[in-house]
Amino acid sequence: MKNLIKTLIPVVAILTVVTFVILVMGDNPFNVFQSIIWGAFGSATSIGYTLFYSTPLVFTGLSVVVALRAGLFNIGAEGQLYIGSLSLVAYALMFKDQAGAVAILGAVVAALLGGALWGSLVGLLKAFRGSHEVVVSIMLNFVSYALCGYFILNQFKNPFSQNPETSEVEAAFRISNWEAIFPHAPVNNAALLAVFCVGLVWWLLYRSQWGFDVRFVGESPEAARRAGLPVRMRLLQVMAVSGALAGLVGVNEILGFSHKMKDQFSPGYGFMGIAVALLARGEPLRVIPAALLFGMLQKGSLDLEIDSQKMTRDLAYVIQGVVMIAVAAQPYLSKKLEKRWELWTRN
Amino acid sequence: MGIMDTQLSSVTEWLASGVRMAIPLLFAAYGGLLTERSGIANIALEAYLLMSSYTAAAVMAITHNLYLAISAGMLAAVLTAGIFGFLTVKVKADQIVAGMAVNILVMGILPVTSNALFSVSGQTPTLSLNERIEQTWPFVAIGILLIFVTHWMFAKTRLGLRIWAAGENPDALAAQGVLPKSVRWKAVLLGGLVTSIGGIYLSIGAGSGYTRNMSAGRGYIALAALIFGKWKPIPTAIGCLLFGLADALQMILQSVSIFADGSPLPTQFVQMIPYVLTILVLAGFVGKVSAPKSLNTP
Amino acid sequence: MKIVFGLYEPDPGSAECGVYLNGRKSKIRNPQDAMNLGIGMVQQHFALVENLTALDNIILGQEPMKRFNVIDRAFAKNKLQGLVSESLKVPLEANVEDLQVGVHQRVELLKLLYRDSEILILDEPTAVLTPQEIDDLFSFLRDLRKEGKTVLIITHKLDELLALCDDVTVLRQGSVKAQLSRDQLTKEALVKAMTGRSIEKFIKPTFQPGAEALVIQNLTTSAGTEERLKEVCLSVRQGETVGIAGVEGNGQSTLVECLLGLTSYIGHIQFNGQPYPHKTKEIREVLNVGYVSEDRQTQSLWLSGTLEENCAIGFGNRLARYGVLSKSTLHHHAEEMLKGFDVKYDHLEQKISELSGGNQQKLVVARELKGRDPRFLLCCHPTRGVDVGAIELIHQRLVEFQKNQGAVLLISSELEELLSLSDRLLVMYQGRIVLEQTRENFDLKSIGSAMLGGQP
Repeated sequence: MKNLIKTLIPVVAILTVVTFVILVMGDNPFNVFQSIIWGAFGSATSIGYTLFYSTPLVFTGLSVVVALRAGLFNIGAEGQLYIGSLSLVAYALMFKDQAGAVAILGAVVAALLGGALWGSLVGLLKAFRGSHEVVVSIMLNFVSYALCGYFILNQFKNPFSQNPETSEVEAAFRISNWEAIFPHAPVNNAALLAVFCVGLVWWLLYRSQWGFDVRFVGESPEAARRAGLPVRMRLLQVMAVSGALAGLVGVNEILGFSHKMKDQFSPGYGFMGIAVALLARGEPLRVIPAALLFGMLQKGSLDLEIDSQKMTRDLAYVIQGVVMIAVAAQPYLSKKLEKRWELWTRN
Repeated sequence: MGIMDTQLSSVTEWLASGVRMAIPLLFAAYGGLLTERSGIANIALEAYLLMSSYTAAAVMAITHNLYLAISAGMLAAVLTAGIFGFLTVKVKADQIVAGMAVNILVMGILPVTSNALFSVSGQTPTLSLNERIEQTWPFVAIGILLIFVTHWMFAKTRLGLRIWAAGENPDALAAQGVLPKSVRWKAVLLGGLVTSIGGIYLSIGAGSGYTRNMSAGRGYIALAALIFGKWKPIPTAIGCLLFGLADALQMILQSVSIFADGSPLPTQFVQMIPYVLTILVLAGFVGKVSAPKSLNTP
Repeated sequence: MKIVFGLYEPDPGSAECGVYLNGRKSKIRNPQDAMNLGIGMVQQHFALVENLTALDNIILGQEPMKRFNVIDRAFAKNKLQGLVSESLKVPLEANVEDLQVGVHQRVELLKLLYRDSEILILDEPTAVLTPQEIDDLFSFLRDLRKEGKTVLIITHKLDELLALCDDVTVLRQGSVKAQLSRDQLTKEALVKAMTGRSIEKFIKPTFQPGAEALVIQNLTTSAGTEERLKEVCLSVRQGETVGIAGVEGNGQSTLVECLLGLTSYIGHIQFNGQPYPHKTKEIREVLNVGYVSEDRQTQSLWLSGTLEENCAIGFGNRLARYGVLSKSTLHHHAEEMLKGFDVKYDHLEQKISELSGGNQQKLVVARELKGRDPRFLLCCHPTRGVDVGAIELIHQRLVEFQKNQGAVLLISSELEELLSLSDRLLVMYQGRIVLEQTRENFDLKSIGSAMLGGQP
């Protein structure tokens, strides 16, 4: 009973607040929710889009989860995904002649390395200089936007386009999408990679010596230090892995969909990854449903804009914010409710 | 002579626009200063700025009453700070998660409400010239006043002393019979109020109405200035001016050739300056970091 | 005492228990209540804001006010100057972080006087003071007594009690062991009350110790650390248990940190004739030093982990194959390790936090002794907070270890435990070894008095 209440609280709270917001804005909550769900699952194409939007959230959600397990808060997934994408596109544009699996593999490795580099900068400063990872990450996010802007506009600029974007990558660097099942939807093999990564992260955390160390360091740092674990090295490595995972967003976006890097292409996947990870409570396997939920919101709210006069796609952010608040306040709320419940049952 | 004159005028132009750029930073950084000095890590400054600039412009567009607009802008930021305070002070949730949550919530609420009110998402109608505060000097004056008042507050007043103690050693404060909670509540709400002036400047001072994502990360640069200023009033103000000047420089440099082939220095590298400087400060390469000792502890 | 000052709330008990003041039961829920009743406390760890001035620290919470929320510092200063006697001079304008520890305490005392406290509680006030400062403090406290104030002083030091107190209450393990008034107050009576009755000696077989295993020479840590070590010399032979007695906070934890490679030091440590490594990883994994920590929950265990995981701590390299830790390996390892240690659990994937303190500690001892099979065991408070059965088992295992030529350095606050297990006993006081006795000539009286800083 207690557990049921605990899981229901955030859901009820979120639904209440969101319904309230919609009512205040003068729309019909039932229509809005219907529109979101229809938009996300109404057709094969919609489902394909939902999966496409969920894929980057799996990567960033995992990225935040891995860091979280080591006791670090990675608010920098946004910057890491940009640097990962930038290295990917740089590789694809500079080594045009590659063919076959080598091309794609090389590009994926480039994305991994770019993200890892950006993440390990945070890890390095945290482990060896004691700088707070959150503020460093926020600053590095902005540095990464500027860096990407520079390279996209000055080095890899698409000469045939007015938009701030790079030239397109060669055909060898494109991964197939799932036209057959989800017609006209951009969902592609990167989704498989995402599922693979979930399994890999789960395995790393729960079955490898490295993951043992990481979880130990995150949950009992003092005991880990006294047991002779290389605590600093683990923090550095965790941030590298975390960054690498975020870097993979570029695979979905560039290799699988747009085939070029657009400036500011991410609608905040890195920050949504935080909401995903919090909702998943740090468990890699739960990242998939959490990412699907937010992917659904993302897709559904795009359709909402067309269906509804009053609502915009930004309702997705409202729901996200409320989810985060609910998760953050949950221990407090459930304690309060438990007290009420006790008083109520006693009388 | 002529060249000297143009150089001189471009320098004064640079300084003037640097000051204008520094205004919203100053208010946000001081809002952050008040909050963080009480021991609450605040990454929600961006939300305060967005909320106040949007609300002020929206109320202006509807009521055409300047005073109403300003008060509404302030109130909106204080309410946002209230949500943040509820999460951080009352619920004692993770302060970073709380800040993120408020930021994302506000990012969503603004376009949704603007769509309901004006049928444009994330924007308010353009304000006519007489609906704006055209001059910059009132903001500069308030800003300078704020610097002195804040300095005075920490040096002379009871509230200042208690905020300081709450951020350094809340247990010492509690042992003296003062609840750190109540002090932190005051600091958080006051932080929202101060930041709101920066937001109001953005939409009905410098701008003519609210545009999507108007603060454009200024809340984070303000945080950077606060860290750069080592959480002290005067150095933080200097940090804001410095970052404002860097912002202005970037616009000037766009048209100045630096390299031999006549191409300008990429503006992106100038944009990075505040962030890179802050990282260096955080890494302890530029003097000792002196954050409030109990920052980010519930 | 923290209850009296309102920092902790007492467990609800019968109607009679509670804090009585001048014959009336008083409700103290927070420090504000206590202060209103005229109770003030100087805690052992000072509650000061370091980068504020002494004056601001004193008036914090009860600032005299002018208009506009402005603090009337001049008024406060005047009031303080009226209170301050020669022995209590404090540079009011200086930042606390720039002042010496002795002055910090005077600031804390001024806080109480500034608030007109009638009852002053001092927790270990002399721990940080020089002898000169202690004299000053005492003469000041005597002055206060003359003025009719009540002073309550908590201390481990014998001479202080004798020098200062009218009434002494001896507390040991949470209950009152003796109440002595001035005329009953003698050194002997106090030592007896504090150390308990003479102890039934645990019959421990004597072993023939082997060669010297651990040799520590002139171990000194840098100034500034809270519990500084000063020229500590000691040695432990194979098959020998060396006990370190002393009131907590006299350098024992620093010694442990040095031996774990967590604190840098000057001096030499050797093990079996070889230099002792500096890196924690080498100490624990190459030299294979066993370590039972003083706080098992934060320093030994992974409290949110399972039993299996806790058994595997420190054995990652041995158990993993190509970096993989398989479920079955962990399971077998844990099963094997816990055999013979009588750890009661439901299943091995249980969270360790669900076990009782005794079972948790038995797991730690099993891991560090049986799992690790060390040549040297660093053993801190091995039976703190555990049940009688676990104590017996842990003691047995320690003796067995020693029988197999293992070297034990035993740090404990339980004098009885030290006396029954140690072959040699050292007493630590303020970072130095002040007394050494072998098993044949253990003398409780001199040990007790050395622990309290008296001359043996």
